[in-house]
Amino acid sequence: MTHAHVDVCCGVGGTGKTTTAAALALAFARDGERVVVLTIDPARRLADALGLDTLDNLPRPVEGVGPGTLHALMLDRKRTWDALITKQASPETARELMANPYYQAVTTRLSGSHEYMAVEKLHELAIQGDYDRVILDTPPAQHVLDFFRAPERIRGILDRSLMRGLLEPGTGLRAAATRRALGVVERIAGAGVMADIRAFFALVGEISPGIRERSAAVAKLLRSDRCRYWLVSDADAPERNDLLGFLDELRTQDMAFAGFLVNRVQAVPRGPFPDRAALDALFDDATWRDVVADLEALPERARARALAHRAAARELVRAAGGAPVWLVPEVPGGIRTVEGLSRLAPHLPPRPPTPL
Amino acid sequence: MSLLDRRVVVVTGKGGVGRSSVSAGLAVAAARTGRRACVVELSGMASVPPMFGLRGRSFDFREAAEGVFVWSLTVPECLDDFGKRKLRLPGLVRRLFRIEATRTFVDAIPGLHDLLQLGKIENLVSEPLAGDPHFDLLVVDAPATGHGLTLLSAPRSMSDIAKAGPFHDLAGNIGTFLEDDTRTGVAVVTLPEELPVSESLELVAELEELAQPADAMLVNRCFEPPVPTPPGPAAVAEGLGGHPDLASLSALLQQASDRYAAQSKALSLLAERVPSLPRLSLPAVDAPARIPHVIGAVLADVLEPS
Repeated sequence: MTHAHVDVCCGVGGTGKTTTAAALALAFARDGERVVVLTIDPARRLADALGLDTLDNLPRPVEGVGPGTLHALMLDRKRTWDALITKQASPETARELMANPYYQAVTTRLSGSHEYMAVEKLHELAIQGDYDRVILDTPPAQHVLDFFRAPERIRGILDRSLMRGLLEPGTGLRAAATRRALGVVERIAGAGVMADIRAFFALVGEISPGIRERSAAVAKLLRSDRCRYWLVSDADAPERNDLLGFLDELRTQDMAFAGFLVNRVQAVPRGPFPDRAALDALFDDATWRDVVADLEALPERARARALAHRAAARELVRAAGGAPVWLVPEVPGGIRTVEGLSRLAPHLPPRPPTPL
Repeated sequence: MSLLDRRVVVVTGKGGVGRSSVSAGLAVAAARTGRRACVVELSGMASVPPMFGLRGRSFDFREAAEGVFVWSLTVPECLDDFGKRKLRLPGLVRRLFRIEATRTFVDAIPGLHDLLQLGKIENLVSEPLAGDPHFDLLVVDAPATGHGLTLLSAPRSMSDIAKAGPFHDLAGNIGTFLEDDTRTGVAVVTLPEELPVSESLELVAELEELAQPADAMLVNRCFEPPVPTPPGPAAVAEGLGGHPDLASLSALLQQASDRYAAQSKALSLLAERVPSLPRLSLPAVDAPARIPHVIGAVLADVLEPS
């Protein structure tokens, strides 16, 4: 079964990843595709940029993006968990699970839970057939693989076969050792914890096979050739080492790297610019002397910044062995409307990359 | 009470705002004002050592500059240490940790990772053993907003789950320590831009709810106006107006002043929404090798004027 194209936007925090994901989605919608963008950042930035008052777990249409369509949603971790449990377990088990204090803790506070639910939702959107393309904004991470390891870790926890040894030691020599270990764990953690956790895993047993099957499907999706990864950076803070670290991880994992998207790039200033004499003649009052010096320096400062941005981009491309890069222009004051996002579309895929 | 007079300062904020740079700067500021300080990184992170020309990470304290140390924690190291100190079970916890099921179990308890690392920090301050170094200030480079809040709420998560036992006690001790404003300070780092500022306002509200209110807002990478005020960009633009040769310069000025106006607007939003929260502006620093020292000098001047 074929699924939608998937574009994952990765990068450290603060690089404009969320805005880029939205602009990329808009660019593909303008190109005629049916696109959905999933943000999992708890802040409502995407909602602002898309002019939506509320973003929630259901895809909402964004107006004025034709000829294609664009939907946006924000991951609601708790609801996605509840939906997963409801789908996989019998009604009674689902009810009991949702009332378990440990379930509450796992779904809202266990680290990695967010990432797990994000790939769950991604998978759901990709196979449902309503979209040609799913764009995923990822949580800020230090390592791109956090995003894939975290779900695996949670699945490990949910996979009861791993926990069975600890919770139901059985009989025999190994079992005696495990029981002793369990005694120490209980001594450390406190007995109440173990009771809740035992109850949780007894319930989870029912859904383990379903979860395992699903995670195999998700893992396949994340490594399929229809799933591509973009590395997003900020022109002023290229964090080159982080990006190349991300790239190494992608390549090690045999995941398809699509290219760099460098945000907030200064345009190369185009003259002619007046010289000192012309400025002096214009502002001949002594009180304006500082102004003249600053004005004279402006083009040079802007040019230096523009060239530094391009040099950093070339360096990225070189270090990545010739990967494509798109330079996305700076919009002073940030982007807060669909029109603002639209202005970025000509600088993003599916348009060709920027010649350097 | 100055941030530098706390025993621990937790530095938090959204991703990409420069938490590690500011953490390093705070430690340098402490050292410049005669203190011994240490930057603590969690979960094996090591962003700070390279700022001082050191490589890699280490659970051992390393001196990075005069009076400035770096220290990087991991969960297994802290668990091992916890076993040694609290349970008097050297080695046993390590052996236990090698069992796959135990590891899964430790992973499966929400907040335990955070608690073990915070516990190590609290322990160094409150119950140092012979041979433990003394620091006047520990600067904790906390994870980005979401995970930073998870970190600070770890004691509560644990108290919800464990009603008694060593983890419960650990959570209680750490919670008390974090909420004690005379010992623990919280600094929020942000950038002078609209979205980072609105997110840091949300963070301030959430910290308040956790009873660990922010003690300072550190605005990183602030830049100077393109032309002095007065006369200000508008008056200068007017002076340039009408000259066809100056159109390109006007456009550049417009762009630069738009950037500056966005910065001013973001800063005034902070002033308006959290007027009583001390706000410090830190400069943008081009050369990475100078970042901790430049930020440290500014912070030392502001936090402890001589």
